[in-house]
Amino acid sequence: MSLAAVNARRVLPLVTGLLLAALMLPPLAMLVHGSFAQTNAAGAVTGWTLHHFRALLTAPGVGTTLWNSLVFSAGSTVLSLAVGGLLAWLVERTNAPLRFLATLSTIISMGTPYVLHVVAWLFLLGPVGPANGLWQAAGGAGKLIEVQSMGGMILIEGFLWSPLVFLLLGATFRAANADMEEAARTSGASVPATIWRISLPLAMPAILALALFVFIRAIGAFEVPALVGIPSRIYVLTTTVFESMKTMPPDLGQASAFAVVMVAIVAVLLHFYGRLSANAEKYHSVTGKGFRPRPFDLGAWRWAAGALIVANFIIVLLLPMIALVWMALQRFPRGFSMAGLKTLTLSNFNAVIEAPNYLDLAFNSLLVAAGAASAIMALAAFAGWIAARNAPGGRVLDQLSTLSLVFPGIVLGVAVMEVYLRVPLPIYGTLWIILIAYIIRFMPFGMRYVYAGVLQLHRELEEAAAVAGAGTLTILRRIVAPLLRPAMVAGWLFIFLIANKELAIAVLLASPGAQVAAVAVFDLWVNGQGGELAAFGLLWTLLMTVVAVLFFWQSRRGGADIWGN
Amino acid sequence: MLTVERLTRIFANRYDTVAGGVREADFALAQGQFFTLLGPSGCGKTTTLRCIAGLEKPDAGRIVLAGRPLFDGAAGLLVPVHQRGIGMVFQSYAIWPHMTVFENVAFPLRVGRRMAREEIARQVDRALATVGLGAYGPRPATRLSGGQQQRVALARAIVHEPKLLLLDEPLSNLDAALREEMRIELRRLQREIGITTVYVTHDQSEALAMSDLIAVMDRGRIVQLDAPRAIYFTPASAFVARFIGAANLLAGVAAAAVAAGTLGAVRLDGGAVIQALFPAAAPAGTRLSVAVRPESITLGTPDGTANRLDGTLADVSFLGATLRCDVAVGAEMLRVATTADVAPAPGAAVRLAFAPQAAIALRAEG
Ligand SMILES: Nc1ncnc2c1ncn2[C@@H]1O[C@H](COP(=O)(O)OP(=O)(O)OP(=O)(O)O)[C@@H](O)[C@H]1O
Ligand SMILES: [Mg+2]
Repeated sequence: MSLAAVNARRVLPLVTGLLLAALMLPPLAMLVHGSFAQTNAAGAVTGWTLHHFRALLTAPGVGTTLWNSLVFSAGSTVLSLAVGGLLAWLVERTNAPLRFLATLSTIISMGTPYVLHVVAWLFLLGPVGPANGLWQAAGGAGKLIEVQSMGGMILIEGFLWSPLVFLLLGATFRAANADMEEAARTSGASVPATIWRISLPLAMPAILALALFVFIRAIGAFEVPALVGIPSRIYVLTTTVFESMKTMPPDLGQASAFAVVMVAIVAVLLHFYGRLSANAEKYHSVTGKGFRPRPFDLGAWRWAAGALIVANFIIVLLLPMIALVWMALQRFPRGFSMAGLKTLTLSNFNAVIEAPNYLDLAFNSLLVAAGAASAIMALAAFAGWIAARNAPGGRVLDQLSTLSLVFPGIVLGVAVMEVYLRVPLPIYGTLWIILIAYIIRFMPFGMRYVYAGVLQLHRELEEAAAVAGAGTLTILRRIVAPLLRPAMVAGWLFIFLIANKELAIAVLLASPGAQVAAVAVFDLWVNGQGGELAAFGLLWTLLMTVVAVLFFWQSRRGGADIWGN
Repeated sequence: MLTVERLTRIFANRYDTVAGGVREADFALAQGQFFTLLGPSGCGKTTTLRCIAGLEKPDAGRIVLAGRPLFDGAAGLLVPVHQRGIGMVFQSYAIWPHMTVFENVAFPLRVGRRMAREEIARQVDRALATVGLGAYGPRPATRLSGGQQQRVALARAIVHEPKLLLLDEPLSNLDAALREEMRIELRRLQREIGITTVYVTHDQSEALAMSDLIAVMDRGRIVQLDAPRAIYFTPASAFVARFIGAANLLAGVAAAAVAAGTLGAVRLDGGAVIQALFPAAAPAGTRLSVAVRPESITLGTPDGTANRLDGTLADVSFLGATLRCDVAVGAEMLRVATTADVAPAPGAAVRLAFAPQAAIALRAEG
């Protein structure tokens, strides 16, 4: 037996830990450092100051920003929970017809960049869009909806998140123990009474935990506040950070101070989230795998439920897609109209296909996302295994790898930028910095996938190999890795998808020479090139949907629950 | 062959004060012996086994296998699990689902020293033939019944000809009929190969039927280490008597001081005085539990030297070969196994008789 194998159990956590620490700790340190640092015009640190925080407290409108953030997050959380939760329950626990439509909308929305959804909604609800158009055609005065408002922001964000809620609550409802409900039914409770007194209380911890989770993500949301809020001067925390980075020169101090405030808020919320979800676990009445609890019979209400599912499908998927197709086929932006049919053109698609930069752009995005997913899964494989097996150092690895959950995307962008402006590595302004930011940002997801996957492997499978004479590395290679493959593949695809979906993390780090798809869509929108944007976005969504289908198929197969985002 | 001395592994417990694990386990096995660790759930059987395997690091003690020390707390010696050359069958069988039956069984040969392909194939085939799965090599391991998985696990544990075989409740996942069959099969195999075996179970009939030597464990300690017959007929404590099963335990006190290995008088809590065998000396007044096996008691046939108790027949069940009678004697309920083809009806007054040698006076449990 070689010395290396004997020591693997000690060396492995150490190496993994060092790598994780090198990735995860500097951004946080730099953020705190930046928020207290006093810099001269050249950006060199000249001393320490509370100035940035004081400025933040006394800045006009800071209270409004905070208030806006809270209202926006709370509103969209409630909306997405109501829509996604109802849908998940109908799909998982009742015999409502057309249930597959809900899953279909979810799969396709997994592959659509958020920013594209927002653009479609802005068109639908905007001044020239069909909502207001129909209203005026019907003789209404003025506008039906003012989309450039807090209400509009909440509406769009709420529908943006409802597929996630659908997915996560769906898993909860699927795992519910139908015996408990049937016990209530046989005790004489009616269907509504059973739902009210048994099903809902049982699901409540999971619902509350999810609500907090969505709230946290909404605090860090960037797409809607940027595209809907900034033009109407409704600022939230993320857009404030973004704006202070976009001034010339960027106000790093103020951005850092805001970022520290956000990180603190999120950290507190995450703490409560951890307690809530631990609570939810307790209620989780575990049943066998592949078991679908007996659904409620809705009777005559079946068709009403089906109508709801169809309505959701239309709102979440069909309308935005139609809007995008319409936008892509028009040379100049215009609302739905008969006259518009005459100006349909494929010129936008031609422009996208012919212009070389779109191909480069797509290639860049795929490359960075694939690179991040691979690096994360490789690192998470070791960290997750060590943590799930309670090996020495496991807890530290777990905490290190999930540390970045406290960063909203835009904040992580600021922090990573500050770190790599300072370290003498020539990666600022290249794809590498985006890659590193992705790795930091999505590491927690990779970790969860591996962790859950390892927990499903009976420990004795590894012990049997050890008794048979295999050292740690051999066990990892011959037993753990092959058995973990479904979870690893699902995790890889998931990270690949969300890396391509989110705008906030890359928006500050991308530069003309190093672009990714979501940022490009954002720039096109800011430049008013709606047609090309829609054409490119649709092609991109098509590609990503293929990956999303793979992902769903793999997750079903691997039995791993889809988690997060 | 295997010597275990003062083996201790205690799990500190944050949640309550009950610390699990094993304390000062001592035993020595001869070559080819079938040794069973027997005890109720949570008594530390698996912990003991895992310490021998090297899957658990003991706090203290010494483990020596065939002259080679595997663990020595005092000397700070710990041979890692994969270098111990032991065969083990796990409770879940731990058959690797991503390999064929052949690959599962070949694994210990592949990760050990270098071995030629033909040699591996030969040894695997022999191991599979030994467990009666000769033709199953190419089959995916997921396509096996519970009994077949158990055989694969066994083949994998013996393929590299280990000096010691460890079995953790290997039959507990099987149905009753298969369990019976595998019990005989396992013992036959073990004799055939002549491998020293440590077997863990909480099923006393399994232990009695299969073992050369049994250690009965209670809350982390070995409370009796003996051959099956001795465990059955002369339990060392009320706990063992009760765990081995079916014995009636009558509460009482020693009427006078009694020397070890002699007969003495016991005043039962109901007032009656009986004669019983004392395995250990007891001063007058010692609280006792007197163990009497159901088959040692006769119904209503008075005998000059026998102990006698009067009671009321509470219930009679027909079990085929025997009748089981539950007899209320004062506040206690005694079970009697009788071959009598006629029994009185429930409610009748009956007289119970048993020989003093069949009544074992044991120190009552704390
Ligand atoms: N890793 C551990 N951490 C803490 N306590 C443990 C651990 N493993 C076992 N224990 C405790 O040690 C005691 C003995 O456990 P062990 O698994 O050896 O029991 P066992 O005799 O094999 O029981 P069973 O028949 O149920 O398998 C139990 O009370 C258990 O709670
Ligand atoms: Mg056990």
